[in-house]
Amino acid sequence: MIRHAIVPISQIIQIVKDFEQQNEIRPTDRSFFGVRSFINDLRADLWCYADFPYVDKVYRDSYYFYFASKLDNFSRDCLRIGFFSSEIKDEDFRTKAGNLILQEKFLGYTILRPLRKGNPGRTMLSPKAFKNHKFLCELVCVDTSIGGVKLKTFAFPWTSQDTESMTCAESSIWSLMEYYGNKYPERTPVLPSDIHKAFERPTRVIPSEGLTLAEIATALSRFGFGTCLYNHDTIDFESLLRYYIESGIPVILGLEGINGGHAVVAIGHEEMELSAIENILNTHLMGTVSVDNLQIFDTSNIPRCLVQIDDNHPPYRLAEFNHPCSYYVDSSFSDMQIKHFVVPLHKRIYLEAGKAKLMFKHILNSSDFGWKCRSKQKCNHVIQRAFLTTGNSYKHYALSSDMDEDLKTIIQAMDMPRFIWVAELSIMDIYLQGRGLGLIILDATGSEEMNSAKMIFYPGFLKAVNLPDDIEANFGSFATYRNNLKGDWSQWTC
Amino acid sequence: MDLLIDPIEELLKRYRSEDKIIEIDQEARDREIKAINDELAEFGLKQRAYFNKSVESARKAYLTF
Repeated sequence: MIRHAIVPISQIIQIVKDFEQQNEIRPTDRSFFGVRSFINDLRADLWCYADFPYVDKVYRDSYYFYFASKLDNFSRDCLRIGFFSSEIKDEDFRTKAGNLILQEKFLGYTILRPLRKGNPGRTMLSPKAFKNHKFLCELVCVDTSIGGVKLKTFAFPWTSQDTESMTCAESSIWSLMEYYGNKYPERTPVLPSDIHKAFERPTRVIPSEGLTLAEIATALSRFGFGTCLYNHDTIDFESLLRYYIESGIPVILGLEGINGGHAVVAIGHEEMELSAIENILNTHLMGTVSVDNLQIFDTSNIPRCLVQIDDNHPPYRLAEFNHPCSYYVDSSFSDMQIKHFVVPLHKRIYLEAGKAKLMFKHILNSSDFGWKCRSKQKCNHVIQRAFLTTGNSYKHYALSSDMDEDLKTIIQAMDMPRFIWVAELSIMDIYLQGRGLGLIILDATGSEEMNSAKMIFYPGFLKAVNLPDDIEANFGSFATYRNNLKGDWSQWTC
Repeated sequence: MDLLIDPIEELLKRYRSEDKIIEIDQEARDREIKAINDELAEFGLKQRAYFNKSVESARKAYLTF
């Protein structure tokens, strides 16, 4: 029989304690991360719907493949807690009007596993449920049924590690696959046992002692991605990581310190105040790459904090690139640095970020179709924001944006590949208004050669693959593309 | 197929009548594109070495915390 309770968040800990007692989880068993620190991060005005027993597919997989084979008793059942933005009542579950109210207030859920270590399990919780959500990140729509009512939320999947069937590496792969599996029909979410089968190792994989980065990359390749792996000594290491994040691609970061390694998923970046960005631009434009007096500032050089999914901490933690574990109290994490990152690219994206970045640079500096020689905007700097997107998404955005009608016509008639690299070009004042003045579009399914450049557009100049001639085009400015990362601007939906 | 409209043709007609077509030196452009392609190919070779090194180093990077 399913039992449930509706309580304000201030009272949920009592239900958690009952669950812990029932499963013989003693306070001393708790790992340094537990459900209490999770609840502390949430808004104080939330209401909860707790139900038990709950069958969680991810925990059941760990249970049948691992925990059930131990002498100690482990329950098969979990406690689930649904979160709502304000008070809810039992009656809301019984009427259509009440169901609509529930949907409006629903923010997601977390599962508590009957484990002594890492009991917060599969969690799909909107950033809106947290006290701090001043950032932009990738989200996916997740359906669930709470109290018999079908509800949906927008979240990035998260789980804590149980340290035996799942460590940080498996948790990161699971989060990423859960995100892709819920987002795209051609992808499938995976279970812990699927992850353990997805890489080859001469020794046992469970109890898990972690994975190497190469094993993470192998697992993702087996799950159908064209995985790319970057080392910290790669040229433009940080900038390339930010290109992918700006593209809405979750990236697994390989952190290393003296005491060991850790994996987290980077899914977005903080939303900076305009005045802070202006200061950074002013400082950087004094000393960035300068060719014939043209200064190119790449927005991937703005040192925004990354939004991380870390299985040792509640979801959506913000940390600087150089201090990825700054939110840890445990000193063994204090020296952690990002040494690698693994990108789960679609297998049809052939032009990776490093090559795209170099192509943008060569195009902007060209003596024939460069910004300096062709642009009517005679400013000595250009601000470049680069990202990957799909041809269809970009066309959809362009046609519904405030772009010039002629530019819309050209983009609409363009043969777009499935994936494109876009560099939006601007100058300081226009960029700070969230607007662009020019575009470079590259075919991401193309090779590292100029044939992959499908459109170059500056104020007063347009060269496009579907135009036999270059034209003198004054299309004005346009609102920049924002679809890849969600935030307050999209009301945290996607 | 005659019923399908080519919006670019119409657009170009207008730009031609307004004298907004930019004359280019095709030979100079071909030279420029070749020079860029050569540099991209050289970068590709260097990058392959970086990527191989990344894989080698990733085999040793154990993530357990």
